[in-house]
Amino acid sequence: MKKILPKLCLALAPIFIYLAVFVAFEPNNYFGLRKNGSDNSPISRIRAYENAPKSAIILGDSRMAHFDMALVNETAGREYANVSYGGASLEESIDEFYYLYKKFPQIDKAVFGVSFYTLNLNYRTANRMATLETQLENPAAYVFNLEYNINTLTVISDKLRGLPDIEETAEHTSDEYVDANGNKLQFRQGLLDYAGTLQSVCAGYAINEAALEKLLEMADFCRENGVDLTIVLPPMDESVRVLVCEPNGIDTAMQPALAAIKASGAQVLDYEWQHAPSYPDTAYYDGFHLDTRHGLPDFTKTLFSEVK
Amino acid sequence: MTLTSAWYALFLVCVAALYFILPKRLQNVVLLAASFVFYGFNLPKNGTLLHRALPILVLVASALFTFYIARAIDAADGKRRTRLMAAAVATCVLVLCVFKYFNLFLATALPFPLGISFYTFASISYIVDVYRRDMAASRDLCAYGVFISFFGTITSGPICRAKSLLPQLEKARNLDAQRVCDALRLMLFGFFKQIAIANVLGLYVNEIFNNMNNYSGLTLIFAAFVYAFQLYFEFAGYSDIARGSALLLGLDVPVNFKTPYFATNFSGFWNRWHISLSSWLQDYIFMPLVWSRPFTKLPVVGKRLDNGKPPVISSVALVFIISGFWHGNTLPFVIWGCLQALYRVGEELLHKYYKKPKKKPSLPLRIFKTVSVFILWTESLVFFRIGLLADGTVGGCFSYLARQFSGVSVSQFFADTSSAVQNGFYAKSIMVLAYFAFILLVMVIGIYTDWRQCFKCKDKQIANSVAALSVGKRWAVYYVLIALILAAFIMQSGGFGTVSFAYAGF
Repeated sequence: MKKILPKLCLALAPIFIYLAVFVAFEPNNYFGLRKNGSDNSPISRIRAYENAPKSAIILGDSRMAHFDMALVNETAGREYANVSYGGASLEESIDEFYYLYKKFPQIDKAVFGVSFYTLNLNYRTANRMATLETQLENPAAYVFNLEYNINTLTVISDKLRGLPDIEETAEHTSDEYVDANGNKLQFRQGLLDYAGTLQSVCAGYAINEAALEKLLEMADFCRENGVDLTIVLPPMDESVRVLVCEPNGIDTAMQPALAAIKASGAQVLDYEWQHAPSYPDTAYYDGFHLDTRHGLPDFTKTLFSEVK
Repeated sequence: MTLTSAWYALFLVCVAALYFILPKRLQNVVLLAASFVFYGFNLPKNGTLLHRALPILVLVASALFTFYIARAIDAADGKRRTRLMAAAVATCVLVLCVFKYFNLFLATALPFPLGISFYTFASISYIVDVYRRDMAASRDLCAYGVFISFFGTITSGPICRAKSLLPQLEKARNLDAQRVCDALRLMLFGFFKQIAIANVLGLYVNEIFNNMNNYSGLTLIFAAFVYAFQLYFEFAGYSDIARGSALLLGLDVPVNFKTPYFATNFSGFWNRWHISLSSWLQDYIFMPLVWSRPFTKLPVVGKRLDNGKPPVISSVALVFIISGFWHGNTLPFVIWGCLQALYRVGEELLHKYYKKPKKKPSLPLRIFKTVSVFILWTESLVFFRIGLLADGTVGGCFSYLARQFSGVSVSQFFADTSSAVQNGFYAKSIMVLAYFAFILLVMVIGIYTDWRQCFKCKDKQIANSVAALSVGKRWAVYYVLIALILAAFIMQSGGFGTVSFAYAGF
């Protein structure tokens, strides 16, 4: 038997080595061994929060995910944790709130991003919260997840190639404002292209009543449990308004939803329709997302000075 | 908890440690307690306390009933002995039927006791063996309890025979290093078959069978063949893990598969596939039917059926129809059983009229026969696979079979197969390629090991023949298998919410 145990350890060595490599390079800092994880993945955000919870949180999709948190905290005068992430549907973000509140009932402030896009009935993206809960509670579900293993290999590959992290910022040249024949475009080419990608999802726009109802229930829950809720509709570039919203009647369709949200009792900061800031197009990386250097800092100061 | 879960490995290590450290007289107690703990992990999670505990209560009641009734049978003689045996067998069958069939008609379905099909058959074999005086009734309730409920075999067999297992349980088992190595090696092969081959194939099979109307003829044919390999490697792998678990603890349970896909006829196939079930059916249904000739005792028609010869063909047919019912409680399973009956009866009739071949067939003829058996078996498995679906119907089975011959196009097949993987579970093209490359690799290894087992190793287990390799080659085999198991595990995201074991619902 004395010989069997060392042989068994030797046989399982590849598994131990794999686990060690995975833990060392996994991008989401799941085990809290590094200072930071990947900036934007759901599990990274939630895990970081679990490791260092704060009583004020920011929820939503990618439009809420890239704030400079040092600037947020300085402007707001209190510490926030950002648990928003790209591709989060409205229902997913609401489920995330409930999951975090159940684990950390000291949460007393939530800034929740909503938009016409996440209220769109045709915006069919999977609600990953149940899967995320399993992965958060069961390390085996995380360690053996295919997507995270591929991400780990990508991280190793990027590190070996010395590739920097991608930031949503760009410098724009005059070429981007004219077409191939030199004619002036209505909007920057990148913004035109981005608006084009939204057309299929926004055609035949209708409000996702179930998701709206869930949001209003969350507002009731926050009021009953002493959580200050601020619902934010982030700003969008004029190209989206003109090329996507107006032709599809989205501006009209949103009115009842906006009225319901305002009647919920939560603080509503509407930078999408009623109080759209007059940012130049260079402040936008694409039609929805503010440039992290040229637009987002201004919006961060505006938003968090207005949040109660 | 299943035998392929990480928790099971921890569980087995803890059980083995206690088993060998504690005094030998407590070994059966440890096994019995461990078996109930294992069973407890597999109880329903929802419902009232009684609802959740019902499966384990049925197991305990079944074990106690059959233990004491066997002792009563052993002490009785003549007609009383026969009546007691008949009543005991009827009771066991009735309990099985209640949970397997009548449950469908209840307003609130009773929870299905894990392994009831397997332990009921084990109990019946014990009762009949005692009745036939092939063995004495056991006096050791603890050992008998282990025989009925052993955690390694209760989920999906092999169906053990009391006259083989009880004598082993009555002796002390010592820790043996060579046996431990053999057990771990056998389990490694089992994990490879189930995790690296069957579960990975299952990702594709599930996508096709769950969405069969979206795919063309050749794709459906291919998926049926893939399912045949999935089912075999899944079940054979599970049996290897079960046997390895038992061997680790010093117990020898029967081999359940002997390279069935190399069989050249269905008689040979059923001597190689789920051997513990087919031998049980032979010993406890077929032989009694043949020798007692019950149909000749029927009023009016009995004498007409009596031709003085044993009713082999009708008995074969009935055995396979019963096998169909044992496998499932829906009509597709019954039809599957009828198909097996048809194949076997067809073979018997061919031998009857054209005589069994005296010479060993030539290689091309053997290949032709092997492929023919495989094709017929594969097509019958369409009923088996669709029977496992919650909404599986006979119409769905025939629809699947009919659709295999429509839209037959090689280019459509490649497009379908690629989109099945992309739509089903891997969205990126590179992952689709990686998936098929992986399948090709593990299937080559799986079929090669089976070929070696069939033609080179004969009665020696392939897992043990690895021990005869040089140190370098042996460890290379281990590391390749472990790496492939790990890769497959990750491909299924650790098994969280993916493929389920077809035979686990018995």
